[in-house]
Amino acid sequence: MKLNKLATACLVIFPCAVLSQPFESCPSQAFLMQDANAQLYGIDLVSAKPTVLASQLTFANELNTNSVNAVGFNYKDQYMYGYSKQTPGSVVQLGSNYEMKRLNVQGLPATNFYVGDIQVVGEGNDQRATYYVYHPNFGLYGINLDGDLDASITASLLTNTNTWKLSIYDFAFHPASNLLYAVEPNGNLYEIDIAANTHTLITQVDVGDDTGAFGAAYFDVKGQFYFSNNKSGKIHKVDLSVSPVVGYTPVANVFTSGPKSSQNDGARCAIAEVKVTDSSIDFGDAPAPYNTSLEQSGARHLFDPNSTGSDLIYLGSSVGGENINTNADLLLSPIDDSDDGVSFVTAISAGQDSQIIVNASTSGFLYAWFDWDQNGRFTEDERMVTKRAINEGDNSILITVPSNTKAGQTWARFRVTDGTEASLITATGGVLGGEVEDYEITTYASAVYPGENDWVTLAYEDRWPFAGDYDFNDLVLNYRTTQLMEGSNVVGYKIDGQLIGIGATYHNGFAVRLKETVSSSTRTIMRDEVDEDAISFIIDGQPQTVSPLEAGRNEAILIFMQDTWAHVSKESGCSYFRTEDNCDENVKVTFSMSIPLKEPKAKSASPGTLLDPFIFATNGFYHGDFLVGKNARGWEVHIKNQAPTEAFDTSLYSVTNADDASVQSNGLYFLNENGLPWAMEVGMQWLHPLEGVDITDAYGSFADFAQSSGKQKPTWFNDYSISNVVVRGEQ
Amino acid sequence: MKKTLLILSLSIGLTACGGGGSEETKAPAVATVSSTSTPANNPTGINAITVDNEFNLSTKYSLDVDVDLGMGDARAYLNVCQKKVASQRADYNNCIYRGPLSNTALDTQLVLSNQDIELIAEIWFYDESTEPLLFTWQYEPAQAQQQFVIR
Repeated sequence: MKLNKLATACLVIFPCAVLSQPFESCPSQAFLMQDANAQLYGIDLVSAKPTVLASQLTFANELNTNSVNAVGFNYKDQYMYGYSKQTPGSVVQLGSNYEMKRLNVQGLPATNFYVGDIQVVGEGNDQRATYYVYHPNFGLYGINLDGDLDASITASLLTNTNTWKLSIYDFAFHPASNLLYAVEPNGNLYEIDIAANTHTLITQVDVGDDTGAFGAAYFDVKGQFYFSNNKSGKIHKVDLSVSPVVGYTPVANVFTSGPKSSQNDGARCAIAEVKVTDSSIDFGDAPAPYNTSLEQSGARHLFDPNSTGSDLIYLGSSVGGENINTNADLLLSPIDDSDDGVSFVTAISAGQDSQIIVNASTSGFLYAWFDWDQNGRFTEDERMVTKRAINEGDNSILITVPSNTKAGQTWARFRVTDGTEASLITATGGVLGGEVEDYEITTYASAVYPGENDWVTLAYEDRWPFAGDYDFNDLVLNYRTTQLMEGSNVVGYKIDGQLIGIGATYHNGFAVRLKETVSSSTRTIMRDEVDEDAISFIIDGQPQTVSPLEAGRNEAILIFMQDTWAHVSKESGCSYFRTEDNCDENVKVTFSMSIPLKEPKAKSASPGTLLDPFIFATNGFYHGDFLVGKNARGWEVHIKNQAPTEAFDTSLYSVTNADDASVQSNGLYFLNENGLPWAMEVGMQWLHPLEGVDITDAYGSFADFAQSSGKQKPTWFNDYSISNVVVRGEQ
Repeated sequence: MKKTLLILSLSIGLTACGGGGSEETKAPAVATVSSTSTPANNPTGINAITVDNEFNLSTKYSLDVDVDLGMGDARAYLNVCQKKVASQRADYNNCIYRGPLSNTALDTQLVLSNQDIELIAEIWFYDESTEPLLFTWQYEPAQAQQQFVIR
C-alpha cells in the first residue's frame, strides 16, 4: 500500500519516475484482479481472507481507469503480466509497486484478452517464459518474455486454436507438466497441451450451484488447481497432482469462499505452496474420507479474521486453531477439543424429530450436514440446517431425520458464520470467521463403559505361567466398549482402544471375546450371531480389510492385533514402546471396531461392560521355552478369574515349576498362589509404571487396595509417584 | 537401562522382567540370588502382598438407574453423562447411557469403572425448550448397592 500511495503521489507532482520492481519472492497468496477499474487483491487461499494490495493501479504517466485481465505470474522474473483494456489495449508488466508498463507486442488482434497465463519451462539459465493469451474468437497466442522487453515482441498464433471455441475465462499452467487447465461455466474441465496443439475435455466437475464465468484460475506447487466463480466468490479445488490426467477422474470441492466480482482474473506463483503454518484456522475433526484436511479442501474457518481476539462467532465455550494440512496431520490430532457447542439430547431415529441444543457465543448463522447414508461425505441434500439464525446461548433445534436413514454410527458437521457469506456455504472449504464442529453420532441408544470420552486401562504381564516383574506394562491399552441398543435389545457393539505401551520383547496379540460373567452366569455372543460382513475396523484411521472375527471358533472372538509390535516402531535409543523415560511419549495406536449383530439380542442375555479382553502369543515368535513347538495362539492371558477361550491350550496349566495357581473347578484363573493376577483392569485412564518398576512402588496405595479386596483405597490409581510412571504425553 | 534394572531386580531377590530383555532365562518366582541386606525369603513389593482369590482388582460396580417421572406417555429421552467440569450440566461428550424412556420410566443397571465418577442425568422432551429435567448423582460409600433414583 505504501508503494501505491507513493506512486499516486508521484502522479500528482508530475513528472517523477518510480521504477517498477519485481515481486520480492514467489508469494503464496493468489493475486486476484477485480473490477472495471482494476483493483488488485491478495487472497490467502487457506483462510479465504482477501487483502487489498492496490486499490489503484498506475502507468508511469497516467492513472489506470480500466480493467486488467488475463493476468499471470512469471516466476522467472517475478513480475505479473496481463492485458490492459486502457487505450491503447496492450500487454502490460506489473511490478511490486503496482505500476504497469506496456510491452510493445505486435501481431495480436484488436480485442480485449481476458484469458491468460505464463508458462515457465527449464531450469537456471535455460529457464524460458512465455505469456499465453486466449480469446475464443481468435485463438491462443504465445508471447516470448525472454528477450528485451523494451523491444518489439511478435505474438504468434498457435495453429487452428481459433477453432477451439472454449467458453473459458481464465486458465493456469500446471507447474510440473506445463499443461494448461481451464473450466467452463458448466464445470467442463479442459486439459490443453500447447506442444501438441490439443485440447481435451477431461470431465465435467461438480461446481454445485455456481453458474457463469470462472474468471480466475491458479495452481500450487503440489498440482492443486483452483478456480473461482465470479458470481458466488467460491474457489473450487481439483487435485491434478497427476498430470496429464490419465486413469482417474478429477473431483472438485469448494476450497474457500472468496470475494465475488463482476470482473475477475487470477494469477499466482504456481511454484508456491498452499499450506497452514499457524493456529489461526479452525478445522473439523471428522476422519477421512470426510473432507476435513486442507488437502481435501476441508471445512475451515479463520476464526479471528480481524485479529482482534474479540466478538468471535463460535459454538460452545471456545474455538481454537489447528494445523491440519494433510490427512496424516488429521490422524495425529484427531480430536478438536473446542468442538463443544452441540448436544444431541435425544435419539436420532429414522423418520422422527430429533432435538439438538446448539450453544453459540453470540448471534450468528448455523449450517448443519448429517451423513445419513454413511457414505463418508456430507452432500448438499444432507444439509439439514441452512443459514438458520441462532441467538447467543442455547438454541433448541428440531431436525426431522429422513425415514430412509441408515442405522448405525455416522458423522455430522456444524458450521457457524456471521451471515455475510456471498452464497450458501458448503460442507467443505474455508470461510472467514465462525467455526466448524464435527460430531460422531449414533442412531442407536447406547450404554458405554466407562464413558464416551473415558478409558479404562488394561495392563498385562506376559510371562504367564511364570511370575512377571509386576510393572504391569508388558502390554498396556486404553479401552472402551459400547453396547448399541434398540428398545430392550442389543443390536451391536463398538470397541475403541489405544495401544499405549509395550514393555516386553515377546510378541503378543490383543483380542476381545464377546463374553461377560455376571453374578456367576455368563453371557456370550456366538460367532454366528455376528454380522461378519458388516464389521467395520479401523486402526490409526486406516480401514482394515481382513475380517477380525477369528475363524473356526464357536464364540465370537475379535482379533484386534495379531502382533502388537507390528503396529509400533521403537524410538531410537529405546528398547520398548512407551515404557521408558522419553520413549515415544506422544505416540499411540488408535483402533475402533463396530460389530453389528445379525439379529437383535435381549439386553439381559447380552454381554457388556468390559467383555473379555485378552492377550495371546503371536505365532512365529519365541514366547518362552515351554511354548516351543506348540501353537502360540493357545497361550492366553485374561483378567483374573476370567476363563480362557476355546483356543486355549489347557496343557499350559501343567507347565513345570510354573507360578500359575489356576483351579478351573473353582473358577480361579490366571492368578498365582498369592492371588496376584497377570492382567488387570484399571478403572480410569492410567499412567502405567516405568520399565521394571514394581506397581507398589509406582502406586503407594495399591497394596492396601489389593489386600483389602478393594475396600480400602478404591481410588488407588490417583496416588502415584510421578518419577515411576510413564507420562501421558500428548495422547 | 533394561539390563541395569534386570540386574538390580535379581539382586534384590525378584524375578526377571516380564517378557522383556534377556528373560529367555526362566527365573523362578523366588530367586535364590541375594547380595543385599534383603533376606532372600522376605519378599518385597507386590510379592509381599496377598490378594483374595475372588478379587480381580477391578474397581467397577453397578448402579441401578430407576426413572419414573409419572408423566404418562410423553416422548422423553434420558442421557446419563459424566458431570461437566465446573458446571452442573451433563458432558455430552462423555455419556454412560443414552436411551428413550418408556412411559417416562426406565429401570436399568449401569456399570461404572470407579468411585470418582459424578453423573448428571438430563431428560429432554423433543420440544423447543432449552432446559432439560436435571438430576445429579455421586458415589455413596454407605450404600451397599448404588442407586440413582429419578422422580
